[in-house]
Amino acid sequence: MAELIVATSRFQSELYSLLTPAQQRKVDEARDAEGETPRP
Amino acid sequence: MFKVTTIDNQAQSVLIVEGSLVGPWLPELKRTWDEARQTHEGATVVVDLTKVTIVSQHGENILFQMMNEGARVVGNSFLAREVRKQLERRRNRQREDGNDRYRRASFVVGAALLLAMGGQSSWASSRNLPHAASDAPPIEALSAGIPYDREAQPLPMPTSRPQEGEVVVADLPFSSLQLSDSLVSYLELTQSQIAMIQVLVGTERQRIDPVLTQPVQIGSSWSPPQRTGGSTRSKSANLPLSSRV
Repeated sequence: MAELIVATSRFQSELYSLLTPAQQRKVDEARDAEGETPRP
Repeated sequence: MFKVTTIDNQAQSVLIVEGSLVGPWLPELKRTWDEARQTHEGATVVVDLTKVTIVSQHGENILFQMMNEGARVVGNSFLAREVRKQLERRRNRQREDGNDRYRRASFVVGAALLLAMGGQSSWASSRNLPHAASDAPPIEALSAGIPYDREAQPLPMPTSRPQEGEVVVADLPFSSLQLSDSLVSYLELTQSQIAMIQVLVGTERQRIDPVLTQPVQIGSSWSPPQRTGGSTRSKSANLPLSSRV
C-alpha cells in the first residue's frame, strides 16, 4: 500500500509539472476552493 | 512573527495585522476574523495590512475569502497595495467566472480526478471493468489501447467483515481517470500537454500494475468501504488511494 501512496504522489507531481505556472495556479485555486491543503 | 490587534468602534471593527501572514499564523487570523464577525454582526470589518511583511499564497487565499465574506482590505505599504491589487484581480476574475458556474464545477471535478489518479476503488476482480460514472472511455484506455467495455458493471462489494489476519485482494483501477473537455478548456491545455498527460497515464499504469496485483493485509480496524453509487466526484476523490481500502 505504501507503494501505491508513493506512486500516487509521484504521479500527481508529474502531472503538476506538465502544467504552466498559470495552469498550476488555477489548479491550486480549485483545490483551495475544495478545502484541500494548498501546495507550499 | 505575527500579531493581530482588534480595534472596535461603533461603525466598524478594524483588524490590524502585523508580521508574517504565512502557514502557522493563518488559523489565528481566521479565528480573529470569525470572532469579529460574530461580535459585531452587521458591522464592517476592516483588515489593515500596512504592517504585514510577508503574505503566502494560502494567506492570500484566506484574505480573498474574508473579502468575499464582507471584509474590507486596506493598507498603505507597498506589499499591502500589491496584495489588494491581486485580490481585486481575483475578484474580477471570479465575477467573470461566475457567468459559467457549470464549467467551473466541472473543472473542480476534473482536476480532482486528474490529480487523484483514480477517484474510485472497486473490489472487481478485473481491472478492465470501468466505472459507469461517464459514457466517455477512460483516458488511459485510450492511450494504452485497453479494450473498453461500456456495458460492464463493477462486481458487488463484500459486506461481511474479514477476519483479522485474513488477506483481502483489493483492485484499484485507474479507469475513473478522465481528461474532460471542460478541464481541457478551463486549463487551456495545449495539444502537446494533452498528449503528454495521456502518455504519462499510460506509463503510470504500467508501473503500478505489479503493485496492484499484490495482496493487501487488512488489520483489525478494517471496515467495509462506503458505497457511493460510483459517482462521487468531490474532494474525496483527492484522497490517497490507501484511504479507500
